[in-house]
Amino acid sequence: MGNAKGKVLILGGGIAGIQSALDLADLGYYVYLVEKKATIGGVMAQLDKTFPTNDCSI
Amino acid sequence: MCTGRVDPLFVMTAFNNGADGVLVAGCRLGECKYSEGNLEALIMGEAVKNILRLIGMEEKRLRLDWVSSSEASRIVEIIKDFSYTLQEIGPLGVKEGWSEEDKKFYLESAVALCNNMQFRSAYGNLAREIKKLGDFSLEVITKKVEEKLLPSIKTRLYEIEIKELVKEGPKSLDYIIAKTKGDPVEIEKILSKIIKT
Amino acid sequence: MVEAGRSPNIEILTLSEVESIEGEPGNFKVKVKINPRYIDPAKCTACGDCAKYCPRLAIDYFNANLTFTRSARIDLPQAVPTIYYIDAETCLHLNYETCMLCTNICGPNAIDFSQKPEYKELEVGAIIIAPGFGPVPQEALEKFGYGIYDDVLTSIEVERMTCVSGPTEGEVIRPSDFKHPKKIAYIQCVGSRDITCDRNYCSSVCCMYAVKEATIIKEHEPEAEITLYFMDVRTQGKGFDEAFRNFVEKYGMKIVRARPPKVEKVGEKIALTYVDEDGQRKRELYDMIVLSVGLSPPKDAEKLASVFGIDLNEFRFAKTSTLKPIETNRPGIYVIGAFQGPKDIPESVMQASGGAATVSEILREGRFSSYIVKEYPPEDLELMSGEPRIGVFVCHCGVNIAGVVNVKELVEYAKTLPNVVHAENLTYACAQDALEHIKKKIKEVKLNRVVVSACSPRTHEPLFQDTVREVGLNLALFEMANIRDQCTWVHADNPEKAAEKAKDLIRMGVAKARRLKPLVLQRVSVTPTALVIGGGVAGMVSALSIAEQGFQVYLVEKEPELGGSLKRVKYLISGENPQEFLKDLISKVENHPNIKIYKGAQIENISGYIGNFTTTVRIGDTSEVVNHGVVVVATGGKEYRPSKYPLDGKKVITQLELEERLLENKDLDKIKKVVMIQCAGSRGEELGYCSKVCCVQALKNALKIKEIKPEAEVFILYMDLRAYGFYEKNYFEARKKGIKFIRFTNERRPQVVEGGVKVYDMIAGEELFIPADLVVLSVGIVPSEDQEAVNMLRIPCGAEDGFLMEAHVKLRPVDTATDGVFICGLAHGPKPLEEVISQAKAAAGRASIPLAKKEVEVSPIVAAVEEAKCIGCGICVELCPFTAIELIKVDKKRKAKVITAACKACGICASHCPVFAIDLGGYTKEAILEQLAGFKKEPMEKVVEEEKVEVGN
Repeated sequence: MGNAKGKVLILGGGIAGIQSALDLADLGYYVYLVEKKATIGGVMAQLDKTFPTNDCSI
Repeated sequence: MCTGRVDPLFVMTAFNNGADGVLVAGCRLGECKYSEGNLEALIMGEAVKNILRLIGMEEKRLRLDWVSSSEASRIVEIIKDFSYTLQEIGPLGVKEGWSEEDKKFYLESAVALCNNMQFRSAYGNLAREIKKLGDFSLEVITKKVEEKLLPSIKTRLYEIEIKELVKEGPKSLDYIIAKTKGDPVEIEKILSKIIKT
Repeated sequence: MVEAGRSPNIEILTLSEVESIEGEPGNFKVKVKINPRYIDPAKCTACGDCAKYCPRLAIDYFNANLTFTRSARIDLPQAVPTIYYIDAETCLHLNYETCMLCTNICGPNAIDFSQKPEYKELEVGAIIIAPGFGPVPQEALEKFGYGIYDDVLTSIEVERMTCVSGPTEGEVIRPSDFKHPKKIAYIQCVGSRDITCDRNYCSSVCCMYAVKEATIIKEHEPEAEITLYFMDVRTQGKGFDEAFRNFVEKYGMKIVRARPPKVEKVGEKIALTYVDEDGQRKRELYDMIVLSVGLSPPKDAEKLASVFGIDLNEFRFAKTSTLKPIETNRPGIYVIGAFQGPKDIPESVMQASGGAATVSEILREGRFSSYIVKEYPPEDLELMSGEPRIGVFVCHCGVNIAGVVNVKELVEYAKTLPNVVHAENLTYACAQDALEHIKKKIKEVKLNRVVVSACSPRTHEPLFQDTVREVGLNLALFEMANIRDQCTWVHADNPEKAAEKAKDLIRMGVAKARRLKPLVLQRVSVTPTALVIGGGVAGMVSALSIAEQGFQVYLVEKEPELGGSLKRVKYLISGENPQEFLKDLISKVENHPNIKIYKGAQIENISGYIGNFTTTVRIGDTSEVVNHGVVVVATGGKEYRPSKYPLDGKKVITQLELEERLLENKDLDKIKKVVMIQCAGSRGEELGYCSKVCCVQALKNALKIKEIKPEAEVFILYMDLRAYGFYEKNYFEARKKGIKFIRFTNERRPQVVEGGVKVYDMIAGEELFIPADLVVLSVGIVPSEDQEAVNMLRIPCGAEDGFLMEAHVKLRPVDTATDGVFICGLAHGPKPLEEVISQAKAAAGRASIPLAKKEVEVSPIVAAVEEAKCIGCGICVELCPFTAIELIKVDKKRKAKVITAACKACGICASHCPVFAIDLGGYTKEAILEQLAGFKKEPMEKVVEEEKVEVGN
């Protein structure tokens, strides 16, 4: 199972959780991303566009 | 692939290979992942439209549109609308009043133009100038293409066309003017230059 | 999202919740309950047949309950993981033991009703909680007629409506009659700034998102008249004020400053009654009312608090402090995002990266100890050489493709194409067994090009690329022909033509495949040190974090002492002591073995690119050259001195000057009447923007005056009082303590005159004179003048405000357009201390990524110059958006050279080269022209030339 010190748990798969997971994986850690819903993305996935750039993808 | 990668050569080659229309679709303007790829594509579109105009092709056969990756229904609308437009215009060559031979002549000349170093230099320099200006508005692009690129397009395209026309032996000036659809004075100048060299 | 789904080091546990936590930092045991999905993720191919045939309607929460979906479903097509699920609450089988239609219809037999909740015990070193925010209480909505009148909607519902892939396909309609509303009102602060529903805080994001939504409505419905009802316009984010102004002007939106207390139905319309700023009672009729709902704490905040053992604040958000914005009270457990306090996307992203940095500090010893590195066999150069031998695999995708076109016929057709040596059909090409089969065939038939004709490359191209790499093929030798999304899905009603088009697509794919060239997978080694420019709070926090993560840092400060702007801040509104914090921070930085400090130093020169920068630091007469892999720019900002006010340091002073006086108890006896003027010089006077911190600063100092001298009279003249987030409670307190607030507009600003201030009072309708013995100006923040390093690094600055520009306003708030260069603090824009600290941590986290990896992978898709052809015209150099091309001298001739590490593969250089000397890997002129040639129906010639391959892994 590897070393506990090399692993991190993140609760919440919204934009904050995803970004943190990506950064931690890039920093050399194994991440468990725990999400209540069936898909990650959180509220940002529901937003059509975001301000002020009005772009969409996350 | 970013729309900034789209070379005028690709668009003209697509037409030459049998496309009745070409749609260049990219991210919404101002949202380019590469910051200015689609802005460069705007210049490309304007340049190619000028070529189409000169060879007597329906401009609407080239369409540029900007749609974000989450806008599925918008891209559907765009594609539908473009197909209706193309259905209205009909197959390439018909509305243009081209014979099969004409079609080959004009499209191949345009492809040759897109391969031509002098044209490409002028095209590259134009993009450079507009970038320096920092104004990618359609008005500026249209104006700059007309001022800086159109003369080069004309000279090189006519040169290519004339060379092609006289390849099989001398042709009358009237015939050449009719084929190239160019301004008689301009054509005569280019012709005499070709004869000299 | 997709990236997280693909990382081998991110294990996504969906439908899961944390049950309990034991242990301490470095060694937590977490019990997680995983609820059943009832669909086997290993088998589901996301074809969608289960949802198509599921007879059970369910309310679609993803679309804000505006429409129906099915029990068997996926929330959105791009969902991660891209696996369907069965909603246990509505499914007929799970509730009534009937139906099971999906089990019969599912091609890969992925439906599994026998699944039971699973429990996992995870061992981790640290925990980050990011549960986001919850819905506003029902009573806050009902107050404004929601749930009573059909045409009162929430902003979330309208958000889904404006989405082209939403329930109304982008049309905004009135639920009562499905007509397009012509007159719409937005009511702000619903479930925010409202003590009656226990929400005495500001949600920070609604002012901006309301205008965004209104703008999108106007784009769809140019005729619509939109009025927005604000208490204050709180668009304090970077660039927000400007965006707000532009959109309000461009679309002619009406702004009213009032909170309508009364919402009632009048005929088919909804009436709002309110009192405007002139004190007039007014009534307006609207077709639709939109409630800008705020961000509430998660519904289960108490449960989260008890499971994680953390404290909540008075508003039921996670409790943190200004100086430790991401730390909970329990060591090793951190909080980020909206649960820490209402915030927008860029701030959430900043905290996320900051949280990662903090974890990486405490777990530095564990780095890479549990990390999974995907290894591939070396490339099979012998196989890749020689003439193209193409294998074509045509996917059925269940009935998605095979239900429309005859897949066998496509296979037979593919076999006729030149260079194709193998073609076959697969039921689901992306299924695990099919992938194994493809690998087997590559070896057996010696395929050196693979074309999968199936769905969009967006869904599965990385998976197939991985597959070919596993048997030694370069990933670039793979091509997809999209015969599902772009063919059978759209032409299901015309199978004959669909078959013809599928053949065209396959032929073009094969044509391109013939010209595919391997791409070089390059890595650049990274000097594992960082240069931090600026020794203020941002620079120091960043430097300390990088050092704590285990890397060497060079910290350069132009002043003789560390500390920056915070030196002038004497106390905080939260009661914490900034000077103690600063002292402690300076001592930690100065004593850290990994940090080398250059004080009184200037950056003389910076050159290089990510992984390999070289910088000359000048200290007095000496200079030193340092090599480093990354740069963090934290050059700070400073107080703006507006020219239109008689600042004299005595009777007319700035907030910072006041702070000094208050702390030193200087001349306090003389202070009886104080007038504070907000936005002095800002927001359209001399500076165009809002400096974000001044409103809270004014509240802080006003409250301090009241604390020291309760009898003093304090006026705050303001445009919008931007006490966002939890600062709202300080605003509330200030009003309770008798501090007087008078609003002014940009057109009629207050004037400092002899003995006091003149201000136009809107309610009285006349100019007031307020006598004052002290006038305090809340002035803005401007970037510091030291721009040499910024210029050398070519970091773009905002044209209007001069602050450093981030790579992406929302998603990459501390990165710059140049890889390896990061920004934070006031140099990026005005922000309070708490946000400076988060952002500095974020920059440290992002900057440490290449340092931790020790090398950066250069994307294999980059431009390359064929030197012999290059004429050195320099067009590409100037057109490159990333300054990734330079001109070098080769035999006295100018030649272009691509700095591979900086190239982002836009291809602008390639499409503008006069002589085709520069080309883009993966999208070469040759391959694209070949693909276009494939568009012709005429048979293609076989490619026989021998391909020499010299690239390896």
